[in-house]
Amino acid sequence: MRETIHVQVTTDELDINKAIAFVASPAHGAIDTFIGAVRNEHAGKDVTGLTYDAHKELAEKSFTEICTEAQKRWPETHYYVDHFQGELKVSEVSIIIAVSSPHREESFDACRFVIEEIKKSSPVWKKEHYVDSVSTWLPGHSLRSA
Amino acid sequence: MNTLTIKCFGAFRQFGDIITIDTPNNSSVSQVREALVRHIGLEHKPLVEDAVLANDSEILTEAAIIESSTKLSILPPVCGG
Repeated sequence: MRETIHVQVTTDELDINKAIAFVASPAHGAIDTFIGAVRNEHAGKDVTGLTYDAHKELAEKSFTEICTEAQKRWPETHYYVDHFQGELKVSEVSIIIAVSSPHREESFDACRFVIEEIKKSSPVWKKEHYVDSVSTWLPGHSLRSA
Repeated sequence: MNTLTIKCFGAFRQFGDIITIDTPNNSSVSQVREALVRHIGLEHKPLVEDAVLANDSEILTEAAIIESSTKLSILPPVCGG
């Protein structure tokens, strides 16, 4: 039986083609993808890059739980989640999510669900680097209330 | 006393990759949290209060008892993606 969920925290460059190849299925007519990239501005500050930190074991466990929950809500869907750990420059890719399904509506909804849940509940952090050489860990969602 | 080693993530990395603290035997997560505040300074209490402690497989409840062999991590509020 083929695997339908792939998750990974990695220091390797992310590859959307791997994501699409993993979720693709002859029974699926839709593949929705989300690619997160580093933006050059935040809250009025010029950003030069980000450093992503992650608790690899718990982050991958969290990704799996999120995809499993999504699969319960939208049966017959396949999931691929890769999150980068390390330093990225502006425009480089931090996360790739691909979801496939028989019809497009489930793919759109499930992909949105996965990225929103990751932002709220997966142990990953980012430090922004600014043009004035100052760096700041960004605030986020406390897991005490998760 | 137990000597606990806590792996730091996110904003806690300002204190190094690990923090080592001494706690009474059979301390709970709440007691470890208090010891951590004493170690890194009261000004960082909000950061500690918003964080959770975890081992390598799960987030620990406040009542969980910490043994010296537990591989602890401190996880501040998350913001991945």
